[in-house]
Amino acid sequence: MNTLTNQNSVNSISAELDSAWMRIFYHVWWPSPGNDPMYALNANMNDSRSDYYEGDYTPHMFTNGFDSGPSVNAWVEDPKKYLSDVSLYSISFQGARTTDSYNFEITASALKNTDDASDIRLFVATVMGKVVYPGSYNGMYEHHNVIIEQLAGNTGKSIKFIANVDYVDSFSWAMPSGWINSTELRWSENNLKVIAWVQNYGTKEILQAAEFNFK
Amino acid sequence: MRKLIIHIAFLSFILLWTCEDKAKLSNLASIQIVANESILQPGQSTYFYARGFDKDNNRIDKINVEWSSSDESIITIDSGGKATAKSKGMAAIIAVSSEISASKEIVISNTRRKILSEMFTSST
Repeated sequence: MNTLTNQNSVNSISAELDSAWMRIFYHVWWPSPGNDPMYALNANMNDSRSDYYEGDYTPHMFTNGFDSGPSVNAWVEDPKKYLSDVSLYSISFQGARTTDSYNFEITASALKNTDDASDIRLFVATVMGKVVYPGSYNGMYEHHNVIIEQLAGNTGKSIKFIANVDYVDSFSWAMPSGWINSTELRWSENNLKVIAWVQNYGTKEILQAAEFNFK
Repeated sequence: MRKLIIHIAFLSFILLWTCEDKAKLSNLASIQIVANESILQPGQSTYFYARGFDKDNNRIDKINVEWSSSDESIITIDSGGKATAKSKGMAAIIAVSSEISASKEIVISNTRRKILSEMFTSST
């Protein structure tokens, strides 16, 4: 699992998949002893997403919103189903890191209007590419793509897209004090990235995603 | 004489069959367009199919439709229902039969769809 979870690993699945595939890890509070600091630093967010997908075991992957279960084989094969797909949605990013904050804009657009019955939502998350946790109870000391915060709310922001009209949202964000002051976790701001996605909240299908960093 | 009877019987059968078909089409109340894809890439082709229904929503076995595109710079369609995407944008595929018509929206995109996997895990 560690190889799979490391997007910078030399043991990548394939160059083609690497260029299109993003991963986010939500840490949960089970099994015992339930003391994962990557969960505890934003329990509400992790709870909210776990409740949304109704997952009740770990490790458990969802690919573009659909259940890929606990099998490593499915985790690798399911993303390949989307490799030749095109999307109605585009997401772009513009921004920079200052001394103590990250200021950026996310621009999203669609080729067609959102119909009244659809609940299309934009999610914007800050994600730490690599976290070292020497106190890990299960012996897995290096964790990848750990989500820190959902900047458009834990359940996203509902958008009624108008065809070919840009939707722009601005963010100013700083590393939470819990991460800065943690004595348990080691990480580098150089590994911080933003992952944004458009999701049909009703069907759970993720329609487009994009990843950005501040390097 | 026997030959003549066979000819008449054959012609009667053809006439009745044709009339039945016309009667069915005259009952046509609505058309449903079925497509395998709702998003295409420029250069990609797909087939559209038309289903006919009478006023009671009973399926009519065979209908002949004339296909057209609302914007041939975006997508074209031939008489057999084979559509070919030309350029990015949105257009409608239209089917017409016996003055009844239907349309289906199709989007052409060249924006690659990225993939996001969300994992639930723990260090405990």
